[in-house]
Amino acid sequence: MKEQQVAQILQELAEQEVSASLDLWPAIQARLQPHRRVSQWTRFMPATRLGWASLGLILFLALGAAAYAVTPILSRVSQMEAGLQHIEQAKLGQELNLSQTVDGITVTLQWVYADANRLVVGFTVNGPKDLPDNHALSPARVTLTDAAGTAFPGSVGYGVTGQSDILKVSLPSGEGAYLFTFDAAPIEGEPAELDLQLVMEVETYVVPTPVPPTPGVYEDRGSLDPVVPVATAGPFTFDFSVPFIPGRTIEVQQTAEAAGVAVRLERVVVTPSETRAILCFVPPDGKSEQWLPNVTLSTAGGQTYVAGPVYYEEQVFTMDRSAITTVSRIGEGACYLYSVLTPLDDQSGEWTLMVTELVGFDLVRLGEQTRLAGPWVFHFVVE
Amino acid sequence: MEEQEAITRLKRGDIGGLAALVRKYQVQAVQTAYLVTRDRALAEDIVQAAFLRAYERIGQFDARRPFGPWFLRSVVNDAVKAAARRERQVSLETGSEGEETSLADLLADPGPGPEDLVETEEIRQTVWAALGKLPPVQRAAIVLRYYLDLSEAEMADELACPPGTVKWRLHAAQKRLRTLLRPLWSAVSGPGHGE
Repeated sequence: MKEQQVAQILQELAEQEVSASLDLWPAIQARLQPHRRVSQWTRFMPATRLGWASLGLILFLALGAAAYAVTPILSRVSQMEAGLQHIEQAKLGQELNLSQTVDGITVTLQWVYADANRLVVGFTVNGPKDLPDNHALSPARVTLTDAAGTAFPGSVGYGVTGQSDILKVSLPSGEGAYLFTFDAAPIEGEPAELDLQLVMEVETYVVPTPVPPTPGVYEDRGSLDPVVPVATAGPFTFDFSVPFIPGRTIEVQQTAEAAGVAVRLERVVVTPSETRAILCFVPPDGKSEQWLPNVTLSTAGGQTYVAGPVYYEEQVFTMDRSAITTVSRIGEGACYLYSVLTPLDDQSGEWTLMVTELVGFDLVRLGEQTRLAGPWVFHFVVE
Repeated sequence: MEEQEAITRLKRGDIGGLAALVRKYQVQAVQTAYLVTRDRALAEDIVQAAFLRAYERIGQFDARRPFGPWFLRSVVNDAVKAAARRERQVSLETGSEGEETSLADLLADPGPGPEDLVETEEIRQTVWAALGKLPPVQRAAIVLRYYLDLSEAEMADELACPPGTVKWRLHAAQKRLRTLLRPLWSAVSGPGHGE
């Protein structure tokens, strides 16, 4: 078969199924509205689990019990993640409204929440009224510690400043609303409440001008100029107490084997804001830092949540906030954290967690993968 | 609307620019994704998502470069991932990259071959079935080479991988495809067929 014939057959196969009258525009237009390009909002994660990047645009959620004064912007922002939206609507958490002003900048810690999976703080930043238009403020070096000085690792953060088409808000210059979450792993036992300290600084920076990518360089290497703060205010320090929600911990302690690899499901922790599973395995080459599992969780109610290296990117790009899932390695060991950021705390019965594949990434030959097919299946009861 | 104008408008946030790009590339993109995923509905989803992503990232796009290859790259990569996810294949391929074999050598059949191939539905389905037996990444190599008519250098740029990797993937795909299609040549090379 000659090349031209192969090409012709492929063309015919394609045209047989996909005609020239195809029109995707109505469907794209319909999906476009909630995906309007936002230049002043982002969901971001710190470079490491030890703290926050100095620059972040995150969004803020204020929750409340009956005495809450939930601002519309914070309620709207909570909708960006199902777990946070749930605890907002369920009116969990503690309203504080503690304010501090340093060098003309006021930080107000409005609301806090704590469960066995994560801790959440919500605050606003208000700068001086004469802040130049091309200047912005950003929280920096945000840390959360308990009474013993144990630091909680930073997790996911959200925030908003200026105008946001997605959130349908428009904040005056110098104002921002922020939500930070922290990993609750250091908490031991089930205390009734936690005594915590939140410390941060606020940096003032000049909003950089976008720089076009260099010709010949892949488009995703285009970047903004480096951001250098022009001023730093603080520290802002808040001491407070927050009720602790233990959730449900299921010590599964099961091991399954496939493809010559044993995978162990240690435990599952279900709280209002998140569901976590701890999985451990030693990959064939022993290089745990290069492997991730593809995981599927099925509840008794029939919902299914998937996560893994091939799924996460899809979720971010499609901006599907209904069930964000992640999987990541824990520390430097051979265990991995599978997380579902959607509320499952009202679910009970028999659940199934299945590791469908183990994916090994070649850190030298980027793009090369080794995939071990499972499955490794675990059944457990959530009461 | 010309592509340059469409991109300029899109960079300004004018979705009319996106509409123009959609109308220009949608058919080729869906057809490409379909050939890799073998699922029409999935292909449309992939292309829709790719257009939305292009809208989000248009600020990073160098307007001096053609939009099509930049866009189709993400479509192909997403299609390969989606196909791999569905087919759950283990890509533990090994092969040598050192052998320089021309396409003509790979496709030439030592025996009498169908020089004048009659394109029938049966032949198309046989080729379709053979493509389905390739791992998604090899299938994509075939699609890029024969359907999009890219050179190996262009394929390397499209897939953002070294030319050697492209060469090996294409070599492996062509070799396997030839093996899978051998019964077809035998059937069409009977009496009254071929040369």
